[in-house]
Amino acid sequence: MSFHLGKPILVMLILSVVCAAGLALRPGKRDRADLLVWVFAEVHQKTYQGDGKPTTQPTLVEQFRRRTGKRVAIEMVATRSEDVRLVSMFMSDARDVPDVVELEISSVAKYLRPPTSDIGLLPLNDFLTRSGWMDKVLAARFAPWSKNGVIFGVPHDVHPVTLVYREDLFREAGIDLPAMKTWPEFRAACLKFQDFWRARGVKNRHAIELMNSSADHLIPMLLQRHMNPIDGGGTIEITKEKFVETVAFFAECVAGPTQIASQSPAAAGGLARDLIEGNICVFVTPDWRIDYIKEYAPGLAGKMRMMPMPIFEPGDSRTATWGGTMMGIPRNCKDPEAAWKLIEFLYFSKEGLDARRQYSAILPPVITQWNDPVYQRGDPYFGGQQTDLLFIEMAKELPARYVTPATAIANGYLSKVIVDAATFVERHPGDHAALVAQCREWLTGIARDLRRRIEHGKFDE
Amino acid sequence: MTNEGGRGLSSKLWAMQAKYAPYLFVAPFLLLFCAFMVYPLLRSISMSFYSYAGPHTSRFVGLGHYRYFLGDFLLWIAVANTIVYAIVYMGLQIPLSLGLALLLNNPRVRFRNLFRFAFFAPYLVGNVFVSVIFVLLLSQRHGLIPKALGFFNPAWLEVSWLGDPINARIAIVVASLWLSVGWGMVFFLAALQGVDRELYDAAAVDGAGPWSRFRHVTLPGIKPVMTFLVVSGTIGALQLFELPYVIFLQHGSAAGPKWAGLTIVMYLYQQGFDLGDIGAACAVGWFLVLLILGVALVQIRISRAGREEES
Amino acid sequence: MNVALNDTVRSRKRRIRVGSLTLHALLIAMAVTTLTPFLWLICSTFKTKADFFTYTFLPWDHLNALTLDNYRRLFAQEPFAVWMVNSVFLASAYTVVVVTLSSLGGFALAKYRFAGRRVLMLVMLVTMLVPGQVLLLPNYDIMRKWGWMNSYAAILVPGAVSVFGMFLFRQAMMLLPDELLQAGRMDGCSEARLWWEVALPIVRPMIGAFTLLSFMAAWNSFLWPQVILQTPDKLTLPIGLSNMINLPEYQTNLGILMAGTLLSILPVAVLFFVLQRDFVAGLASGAVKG
Repeated sequence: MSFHLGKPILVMLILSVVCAAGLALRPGKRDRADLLVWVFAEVHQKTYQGDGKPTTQPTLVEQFRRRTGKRVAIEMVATRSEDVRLVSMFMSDARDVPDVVELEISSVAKYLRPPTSDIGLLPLNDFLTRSGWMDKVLAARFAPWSKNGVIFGVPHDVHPVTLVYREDLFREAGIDLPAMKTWPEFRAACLKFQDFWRARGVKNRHAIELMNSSADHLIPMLLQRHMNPIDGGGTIEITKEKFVETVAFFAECVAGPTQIASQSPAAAGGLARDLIEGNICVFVTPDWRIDYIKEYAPGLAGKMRMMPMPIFEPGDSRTATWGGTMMGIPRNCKDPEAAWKLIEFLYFSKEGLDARRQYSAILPPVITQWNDPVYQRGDPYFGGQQTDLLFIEMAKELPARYVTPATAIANGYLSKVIVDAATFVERHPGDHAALVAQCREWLTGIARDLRRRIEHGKFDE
Repeated sequence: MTNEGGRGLSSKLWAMQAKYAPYLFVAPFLLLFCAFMVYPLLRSISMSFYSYAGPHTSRFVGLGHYRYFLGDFLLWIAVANTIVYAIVYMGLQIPLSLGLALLLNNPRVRFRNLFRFAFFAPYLVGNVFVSVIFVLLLSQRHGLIPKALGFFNPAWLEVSWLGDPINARIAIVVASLWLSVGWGMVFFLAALQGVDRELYDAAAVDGAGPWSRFRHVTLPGIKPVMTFLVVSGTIGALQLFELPYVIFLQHGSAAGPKWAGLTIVMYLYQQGFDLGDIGAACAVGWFLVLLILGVALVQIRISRAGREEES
Repeated sequence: MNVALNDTVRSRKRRIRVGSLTLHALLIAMAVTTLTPFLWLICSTFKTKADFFTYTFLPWDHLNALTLDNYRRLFAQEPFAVWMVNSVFLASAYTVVVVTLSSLGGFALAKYRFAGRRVLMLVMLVTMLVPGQVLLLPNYDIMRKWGWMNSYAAILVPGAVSVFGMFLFRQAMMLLPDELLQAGRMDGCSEARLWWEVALPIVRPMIGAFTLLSFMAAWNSFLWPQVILQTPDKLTLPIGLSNMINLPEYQTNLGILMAGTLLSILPVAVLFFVLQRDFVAGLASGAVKG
């Protein structure tokens, strides 16, 4: 008898039977490690697990096994997949969850939306107080991971923000950039810089990287002035006069006669190219971004320098914070004590922090650690400048950053205002007062809408 | 037939199998239809009356979600984006696919299989990866597309494709056209092969020019396929999600500059998985159902009117 | 006279030649445009991280920097082989089931008059209009309640019959003469055997076309598996690969991702090549007739 569904189907039938047999015979569930950790950044994975290259030290995971006898598996799950899978697990109250998860600051709000008793993560206050870490970690960094005083995550980082610039190109133009202490001075210097190079035929030389279609670079400026779109208490701050002023200033940086900015492709390699070619000569950077630039643009070693951000007025912070990671324990984890031990080991122990140094320049939030001489070394990439020390200095004046479920929507709104304001600047160049008035009007409308949204999504305990 | 004794029973069985066979054949569909279509649809209605937060946290809101979304301009931006995209995309995809098919259908074309494969190949790349590839191809100053355009005019090197609300929409359309023009082309090719050759000869005898032959022979011949592609393409376009989602995730803002990439399904997804309220997501879903039903009805009416006009 | 005729013939021939050349030039130009992203994709899989953005296609001035590292790491670092096996299993199993069940359903609709047939067709039409995303969350809720999360049943069962497929097969099987079926019945064929031995051989091209459609749909299926599959040993190619697409801040390893994308296209590309004639013929026999 012939097979009337045709050869391809026959082949697929055989294939599926063979694969099914293979899948069924696969050596069980490869016996699960004692602790399963989800991370979303490759650098973190390397830090915990090593990158396969031979080292003198055993990996952190290996050291932890020797100490406690617990086997740890690190699994890399990109942010978006982690979000979908974790939301789905938490909503279904799944049992088979990872034991420890690292979450990104932009995703955390959704996990904290339920009443505290129904949040998929375990409260960590007890662990933190018991172990004494509560007082040794920079308090401002617990803010994003807490709800009503209950802490659900341990901060991985501080992520202070500085500016990094092509010193050689600015020197050639005769400009001492760090001397510019305020943003208006800074902008004037950048315009001079661009004119200098344009006069020499370099048309595509933009001073600084500022995104004109998202709020990524506006947020640090707002944080400098101690404003979050929505603060920890749920207050909407976007209609404050300072907020409006900052948005207007930003718009005049990305468009119109005082434009000093351009954009770079999202991937790290793109910005590195722009820096190498001198298309963009300053970029706003937290500590984590430094690693990527060093990796993709090793040739710029010695040509780069770092400086604090200029301020708008006295009282502003010379830094901001950008990005962030926490480590937490899902509520359905079978062995929370062991999971906590692992978190302590990876985030706070001497070994953990040493391993981190090896793979990244990310400053830990452990204040007591900052006196370590390792942070006083000069960095040849920055011509011997003590950049770690600068980051620590900045960390001390770090403004608090809050995220709420409505923050993502607020950021979407801000990106819209930036686009609209930039268009306005192009149409009415130089009319600062009109721009501010227009921004105020937009932001007032947005605040009204945000209030409505927060009200709708609210769950009272 | 040989067993005389069992004849009564076996013939009864035989008659039964003949009688019930069609029901058995459609039974799998009916079962799945009830389990994964009717039941979930009913569930979806009831879920849309609740607001959810955690596995054990929900609250009855009645028509609250619907009232909320009716006044939610983000939803209306999503609706407008989706409709405009569907119109522009279909308006370009159908002519391009048909044009390609007409070219390829020319009997003088050699290596037809290879060409057909070349044009169809992009369809084999999943949506997600098309997005990743296009983000890279479009990156300002460094992507292949700005570099190629910059070859003609240096200013185009600096165009921000994903950062400008209009350009971003163009980028989405271009990416989806790259993906699907070959798909439509294959359907048109199939249809063109079904058109009766003799009709062309007859038309040629009547002295009809190429345009008139196209208008009076080709077009009626491929009309069913065209209708199919337009209807199914529009329904697909109204469900656009992965392409803009992955593109703008890569570009740092959730829905693109000024929500240029926000579509209805993306909004549904955000409500369900970013805000974690599956009730609100269900309510958004019903707006999509209404929209698709409306569009489908209009299209069916138009194609019916067209048919009556012909006859 | 003779000369003049020769001339017109020659000029016509020349016109045809020129026309044919333009036609091919046009086609080649369009094919090149369509395929350029593939060329770029292929090149990018052999580039190092440092060269990825520096060179559009290949690093011409130091071709010795080309590397197979991306492929090596794809298999060493990522469970690419596991994803591939999972994908092959799911897509083939799904295709076998959906082709079988849809052709059965199409057969019933085309060749039997039974009570409720018209209602059924109407229901099917409406079904096609309901967007899958509306069902996403309730179905997800059902899977949660049934304990089907992270199982392949949740992926294979709900879509096991395709309404579109039933319509396609119905169209194709309408052409089947009733006399043939009657003759089969006379010979003592059961109804199921009539489907298998009489109906199926006649719609072979449609089977080819629908096989390809179903396989491609299953192969690239994204949203639903993304929600259902949770553990790394269960992931399919698109889910596993998209797992590597990170937020820009956290770096996507583009070289490896591109290598994975390229390899994941190959199986469907082969299938298309094998089935492309059936595909067009099948579409011509079914969908075309409306």
